Amino acid sequence: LPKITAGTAIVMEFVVSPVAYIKTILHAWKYPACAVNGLLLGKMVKGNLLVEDVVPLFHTHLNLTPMFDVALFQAEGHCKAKGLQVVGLYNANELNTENSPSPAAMKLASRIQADFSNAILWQVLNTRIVEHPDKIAIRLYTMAPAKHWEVQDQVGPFGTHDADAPKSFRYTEEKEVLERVENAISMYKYKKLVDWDDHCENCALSVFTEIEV
Amino acid sequence: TMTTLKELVATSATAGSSVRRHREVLEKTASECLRASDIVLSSGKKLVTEHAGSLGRSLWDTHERVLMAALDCGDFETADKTLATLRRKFGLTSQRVRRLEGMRLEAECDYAGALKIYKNVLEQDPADALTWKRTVVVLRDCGDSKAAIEELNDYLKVFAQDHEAWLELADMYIEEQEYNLAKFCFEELIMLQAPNYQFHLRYAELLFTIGGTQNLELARNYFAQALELKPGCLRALYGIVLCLRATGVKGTLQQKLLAVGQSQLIEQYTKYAPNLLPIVKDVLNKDSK
Repeated sequence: LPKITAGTAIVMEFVVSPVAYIKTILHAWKYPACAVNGLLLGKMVKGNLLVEDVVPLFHTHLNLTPMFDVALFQAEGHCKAKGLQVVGLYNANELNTENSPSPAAMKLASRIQADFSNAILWQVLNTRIVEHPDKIAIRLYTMAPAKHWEVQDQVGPFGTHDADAPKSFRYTEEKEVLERVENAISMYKYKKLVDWDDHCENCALSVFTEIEV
Repeated sequence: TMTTLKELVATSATAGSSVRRHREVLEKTASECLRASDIVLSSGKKLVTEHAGSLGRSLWDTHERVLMAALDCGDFETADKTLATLRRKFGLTSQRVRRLEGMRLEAECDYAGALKIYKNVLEQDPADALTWKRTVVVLRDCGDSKAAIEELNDYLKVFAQDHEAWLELADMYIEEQEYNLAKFCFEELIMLQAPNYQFHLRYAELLFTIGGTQNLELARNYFAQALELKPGCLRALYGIVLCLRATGVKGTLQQKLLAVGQSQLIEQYTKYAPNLLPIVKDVLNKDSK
């Protein structure tokens, strides 16, 4: 399995749960005319980082900070109950052709990295958000020792934490994940996705709503 | 609105839906300014192709809406058919038709082509606000935000009451992290539409983002104003708590305000999302960072 270097001596795997990836794509799909972002939730497993879930945040005025602060506090509270941490940020830009993380996205990700040193940033590749995806639509960034966000070659294997063997992962084929994205889109699952902007409009809608994907 | 949108989606998708329900879809999406292009397309298309007679005077407006919804959904077949119909009805020299032709080119990312049409239209009618704004959109789509901002500023010198334009400009400034310039836009918006809580709210969030004691105190006031205009507004309640924690609570009035913020938040979550209450209480009791 691909090992990714983050820093000079650390060698780490970045495992992505299919649910986390699919929800990210659904958030971007739901708001095709907007930039969207969200928090990555996960944990370290035997020295490797697992992204287990995401919390969709905003589709309006991503750069404004007060609601981000509150959402971050709430996510941390939610994480405690689930044995998780806030491990990063995902970001999708408004312009279809903009595939680099915006300065604001990097700022927010750096804030998260200040509390969790292995934090990562997912940049969504807009042109790969299609009805019949054949490629993974995110790019992984890690924090280089010189304190800037550095792109990695791969996003890392898909998988979940194996409950039966707590120190290892159960991996999923990339092909299967892409199929699940296609299914989720065709079944309008994105309409059930709730982000923080939605929660602020209607308190009853929770950003922690689970979606079957 | 969430429930209504659900109903609208259900209506639009059902094959046997009546003409009345399809018209309801179009009316509701128009009156609530919803960009629900998928249902506008399916209901609108149904009406113009099979029940054109029922549309009366709004027949051609509906064609236009179907065209724009089709472009939004990438349904070029429907878009081209609708455009051809409009050309036949209104002629090739119609300003409105030419603007729609420009939009058709925009949808294919032929920005140079679209700009050419718009510049041509504006030469003949420099006061065509809608076409002028499309020029701004094209510049923004090209990624040339500086040019888009400049053009929009020129537009606003002429059409200073256009709040949609001020919002767009604020949006662009925020994206460029030019928060002080975005501030100015929201000040204009608040002057234009003082009862609109959204503008006070965003202005407060902007001030908070810029930071500094003075801005935080001002933000607190605007969050409070937004709360007064929209009771129970979650963003405003959180904003009040955040500002007071950041500046420190000075005096009984501020203590009361903080108490109002905290108690109303707890009230809301108790009523609508009791499972989140423990987390929210944690957030409210947290020390400010």
